[in-house]
Amino acid sequence: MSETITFTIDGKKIPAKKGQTIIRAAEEAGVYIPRLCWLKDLIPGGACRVCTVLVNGRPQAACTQPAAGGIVVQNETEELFRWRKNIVAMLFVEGNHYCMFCEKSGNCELQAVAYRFGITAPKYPHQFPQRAVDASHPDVLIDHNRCILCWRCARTARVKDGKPIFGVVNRGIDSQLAVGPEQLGETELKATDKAVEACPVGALMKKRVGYAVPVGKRLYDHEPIGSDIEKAGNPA
Amino acid sequence: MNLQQVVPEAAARCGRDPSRVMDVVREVQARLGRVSDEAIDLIARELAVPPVDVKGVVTFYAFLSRKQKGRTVIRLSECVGCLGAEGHASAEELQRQLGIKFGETTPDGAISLEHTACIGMCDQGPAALVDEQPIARLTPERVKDLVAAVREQKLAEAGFAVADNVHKKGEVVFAEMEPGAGLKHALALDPAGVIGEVKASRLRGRGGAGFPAGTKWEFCARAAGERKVVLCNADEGEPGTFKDREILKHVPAHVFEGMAIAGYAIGAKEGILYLRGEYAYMLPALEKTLDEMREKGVLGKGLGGGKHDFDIRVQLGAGAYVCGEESALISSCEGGRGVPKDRPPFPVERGYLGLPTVVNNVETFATVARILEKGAGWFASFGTRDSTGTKLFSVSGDCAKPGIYELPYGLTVRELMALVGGEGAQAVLVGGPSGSFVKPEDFDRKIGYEALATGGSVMVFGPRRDLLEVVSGFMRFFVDESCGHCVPCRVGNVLIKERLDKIRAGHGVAEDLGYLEELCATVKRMSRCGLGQTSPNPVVTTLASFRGLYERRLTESNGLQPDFDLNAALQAAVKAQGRAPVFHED
Amino acid sequence: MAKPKIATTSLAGCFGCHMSVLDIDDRILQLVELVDFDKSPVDDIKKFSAHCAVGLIEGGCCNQENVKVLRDFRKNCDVLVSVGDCAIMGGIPAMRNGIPLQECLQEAYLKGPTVHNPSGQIPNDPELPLILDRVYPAHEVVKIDYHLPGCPPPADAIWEALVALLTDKPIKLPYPLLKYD
Repeated sequence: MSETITFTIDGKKIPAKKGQTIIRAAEEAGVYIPRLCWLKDLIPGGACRVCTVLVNGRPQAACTQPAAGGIVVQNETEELFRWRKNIVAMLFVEGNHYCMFCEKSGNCELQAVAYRFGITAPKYPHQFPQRAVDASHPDVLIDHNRCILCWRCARTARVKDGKPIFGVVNRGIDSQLAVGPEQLGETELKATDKAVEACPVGALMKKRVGYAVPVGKRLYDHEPIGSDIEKAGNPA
Repeated sequence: MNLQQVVPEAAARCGRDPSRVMDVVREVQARLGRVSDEAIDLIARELAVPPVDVKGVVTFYAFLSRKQKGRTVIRLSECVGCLGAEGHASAEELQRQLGIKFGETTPDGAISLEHTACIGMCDQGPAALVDEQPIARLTPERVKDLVAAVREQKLAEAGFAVADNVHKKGEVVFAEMEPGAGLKHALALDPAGVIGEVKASRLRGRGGAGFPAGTKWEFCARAAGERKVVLCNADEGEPGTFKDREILKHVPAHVFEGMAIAGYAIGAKEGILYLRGEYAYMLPALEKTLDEMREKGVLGKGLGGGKHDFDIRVQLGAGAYVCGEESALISSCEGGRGVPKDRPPFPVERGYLGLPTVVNNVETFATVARILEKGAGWFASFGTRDSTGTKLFSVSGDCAKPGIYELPYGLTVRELMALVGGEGAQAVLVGGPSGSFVKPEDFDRKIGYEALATGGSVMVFGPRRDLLEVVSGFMRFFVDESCGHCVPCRVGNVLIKERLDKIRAGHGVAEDLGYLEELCATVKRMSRCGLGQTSPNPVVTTLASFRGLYERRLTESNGLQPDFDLNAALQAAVKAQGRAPVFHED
Repeated sequence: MAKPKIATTSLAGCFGCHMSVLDIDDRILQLVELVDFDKSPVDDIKKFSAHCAVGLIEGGCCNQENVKVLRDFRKNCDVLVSVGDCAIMGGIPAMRNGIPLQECLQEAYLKGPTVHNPSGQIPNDPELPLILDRVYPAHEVVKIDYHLPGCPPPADAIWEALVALLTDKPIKLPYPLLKYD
């Protein structure tokens, strides 16, 4: 298993175990590839496409593409930066993201990636969809307004919690996170389940937590998302 | 008939196999007119799958519904090809005759009226499906007869049968062939020999992507695994494509024989033909053909004196264009939502149920049977070096003789237009909306993989067509048909259509063209599957070849946003508060 | 040379962004050295007295009056800056977007759980500007040149942006100053 290969990202040599995905190998080598739907130790979703890199010139999602010896990967190109930024901008207008009162603000990965990309203005017209809040569960709520359809909760619930609670209904722009049976309160979800922690945004939230961390001490208040990965890989 | 009876029966019919959710929900829909939440729970229990997954399937496919539908459902194609002047008039007449709007059901619960995407009747539109039966060449007059026939439940006798429309039979697909001749020659070779023959023919996939068939088979033959699968993609849904319809009608045995040959080549005993839900009316004839082939010993056990076992089942879809994408087709065959899969692994390594799987188009398999019958050299003598053989073209739109043409690759757009009576076209769309709009100056370009690649769709647009309206119609198609899994395709196509419509309304400004180009590039480059990677093409190729159409509709901005209409924005308040706005000048 | 003029306005906003302008503390003294305030709630000048270099827009457009003011700003200012999330994306007022106006009025004045309205009337004085069907971000009504996100944008961000604009330099906010909350 531990056969080691080498490839490059933006000219930097990256060692990888055979079969490892590009994003994983990059992370271990201190290269941050922006992502939203990927979680370490979870099956990849290939959904957000923010981690798209060029592999020998072709766009591929770094979360699903296995590393191979000698491949040339480009991560920081002007085009990729623009395209990734466009995708993040799409997510902001697809849902209803009111950062100003969201409990997740400051710890939100969508917001953090947008900060890292320096997004100041909406590039696309807000769609202002009408979406519901499911507060039927005693300890956890779903705010569909904030959901970015990354399916991290769905995959985590299945793989780690052993509960196929979450799924997807409808298709296209009407796609929505769904629970089976009808409402969250009818499921066997517990507030301690890993799925609850998996949400990158404020869509799946524990109740009665609120704004627990003061402004200035939140995850992404001072340093861009990914800084930890870059620091670990490039000690001063 | 009730739920407690229907669901267990449907489940039992497919051995309570959790990968056959599609068949069960299809049957429940057909017999009860909907798949209710109660039915979803019951199906989930019967097949031991999570209820949320059954709900996901029911809400994914256009022909399945949680809400009650009428006993008969009329689905009018709202595809660009079908919606000419006659199409709009027929749509109006349908609503008038039924006394309901699209999306509604008559109060007596008899008839539901809906729109649907392309149903593969582009050569004889406007067209509709009445339950499973296709109705072509609609006019307001014929709509009256149609509604009367549906009401009296005498549709079968009402003379709405679809006409044959093959204008040119070529040497390969539509030529006569002795049943089993291709398979017989194949079985005389060893599997590697069959793959060698297909490679030597330089046959490329007929679905549009053009991957060399022999190479695909070779990969699959080499993949580890005892059990392998041959999948035939009969989910043609690209607007303007209806060749598979005619192949499956006239020479289905060629297709099945091609599948049996592929099975022998890669070491597979089972084949599945995935038939799009819109073609469900063909199922009885296809099942009959399969039975005949089993009787003749072209399918079944012990073929070629015990060298090969092979049989085929037909899997029906339920209305989802994206299932024509090979990995989405596999997801659908497995009973799930028609969502494409990540590659790698490729289907040839891990496809249907994780088994090595070859997926080829209907036309590819029909062609294979003939290649094995007549030899690779014979086949390669047709067409060009990079695009060997003949190709079926589905010609529709503003031309004298729309229909199917089997012609050698390498002819020019101009030659094809002369043949079909499409001279004077302002644009020809080659390859369907995910292909490209060709302008008259480029009509000498050759059709083939070296120039204009196509799965066979050729749509002719005469001088009076509003091309941007056509483009907008195609973008609506992609918005409706995006599976929704990845962000760029799910959201990007909506935004492209929105901005295109802004320009069409005369509210676009010069920067909007750059905005569109950037958006299209993002969707094309960042999307997960072929749908998103090509969906912006109607805009991209018209921006390149027909830019003037856009530029002529642009306006000056003067610092104000031209699409903000204050008066329109005030109308809700005027209605709610009962007073007119006052516009002060100061 | 005369000092450049700035104008400010609060449309469908809460004046929080104006508070944040004042929050630049003693730098406000430097600011008045650099610029003159024209139409603005800060000095209570109601009408433009001259063409301005910069217009700061707080809030999106929720009614006819907002649109009129915003268009007036576009006409009278060289550069318009959307200041704060409401101007940029509608903000909290935009939470009504997607809900029909009639329903919003019913909820606000008749049916809401905390409503006490014995007359059963929805305010409808001819002096009240008519409400738009939804709340529009400023840039959907007129062309906006720059955006300063935040709820409100930090005073330092406003300061950095103003200084950059007045000295013809590009606005570059350091990481900690780019916030959406």
